[in-house]
Amino acid sequence: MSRIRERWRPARLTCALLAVCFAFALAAAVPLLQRSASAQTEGRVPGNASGNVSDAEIWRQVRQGVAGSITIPDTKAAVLAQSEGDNWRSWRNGPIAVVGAVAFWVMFFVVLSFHNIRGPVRLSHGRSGRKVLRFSFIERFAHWLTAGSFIVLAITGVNMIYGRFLIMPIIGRDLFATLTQFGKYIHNYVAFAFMAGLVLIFFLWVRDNLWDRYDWGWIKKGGGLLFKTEHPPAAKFNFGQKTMFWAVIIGGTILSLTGLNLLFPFVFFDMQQMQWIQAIHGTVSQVVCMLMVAHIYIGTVGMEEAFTSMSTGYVDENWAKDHHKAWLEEIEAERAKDARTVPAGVPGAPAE
Amino acid sequence: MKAMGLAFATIIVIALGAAVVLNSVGESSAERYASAAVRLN
Repeated sequence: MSRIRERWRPARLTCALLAVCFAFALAAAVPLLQRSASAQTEGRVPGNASGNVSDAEIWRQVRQGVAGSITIPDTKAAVLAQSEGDNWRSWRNGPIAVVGAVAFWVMFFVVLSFHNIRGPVRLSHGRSGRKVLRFSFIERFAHWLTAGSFIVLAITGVNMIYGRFLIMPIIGRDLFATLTQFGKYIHNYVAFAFMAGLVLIFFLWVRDNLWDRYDWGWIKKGGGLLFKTEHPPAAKFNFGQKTMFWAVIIGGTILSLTGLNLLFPFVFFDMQQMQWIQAIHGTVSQVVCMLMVAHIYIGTVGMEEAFTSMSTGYVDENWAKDHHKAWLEEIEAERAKDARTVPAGVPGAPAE
Repeated sequence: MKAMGLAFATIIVIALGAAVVLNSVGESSAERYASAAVRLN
């Protein structure tokens, strides 16, 4: 028996050694198994790469806008994710774009309905042939400086928000990208002409666009737009024109200030504030565009001989009697001292 | 019509002037944020 035990001694030693090694391995593996199991059990992502409890915490802070450290000049890049931008983007591509388009087409429909149901505003007693100067050269220059630049800004601006949906499918991505890039530069540079025109028309017309004693009567009679026989008296500008003037001045000022901040971004405002500025710029521009539909209509086809007041500066006396009687009376009082009446035959026409 | 034409011409002059001035001021994003280690144009 002892000889058999001697022969199996190496085997017994080997088995014992293997058992010890297995025991050590098992002892080392238990903590790893316990951590993975507990992490999976508690829903935590295993990591500990940078000493945090889990790497998910790092990304949660990134999503909340924590700023890291950077060495490039653009310090805004230290914030990897600005979550408020998701809200801005959804508003810009959602309600602002949709409501703006709806409002524009609603105004277009209202104007079209007015034209078809009520018809254009015509002279009640035809032309007298006698003309009176309504807008001087500088007034017309200021108006067209503002209006012409506004049209360019409106077209290039509308392309920035709707172009990808309406134009790009037709002309393709490459051509659209080139046109939009040029349009963006044109929008930036023509804006200064608009601001110059805005300042001019403010100083030229602010005094004539304050509330006067004729405005309430004009409002009560609907400006004479509802019934063809109504012609409420008005001074140089009626209440409707005054509303348009102040909408352009206030809206144009807001557009100018927000636009300058968009042209020189992050000088005064941070990322989220810049998003607010862009949203305001887009919203106010759509409101002003909507009002311009009515203004352009009444200044062209909506009122007989309306356009030529801004093209030649002269209006027929009968037109002035119909729409701006108080203003005509002031002019006639000055006519004796300052002969500004133009004989019959000179091209010209009434205004707004 | 002269006032309208002059106004439209003024728009073009102001726009061109703005382009020249803005491009010479050196405040474009590429110029403000570029450095020896950052190439933006």
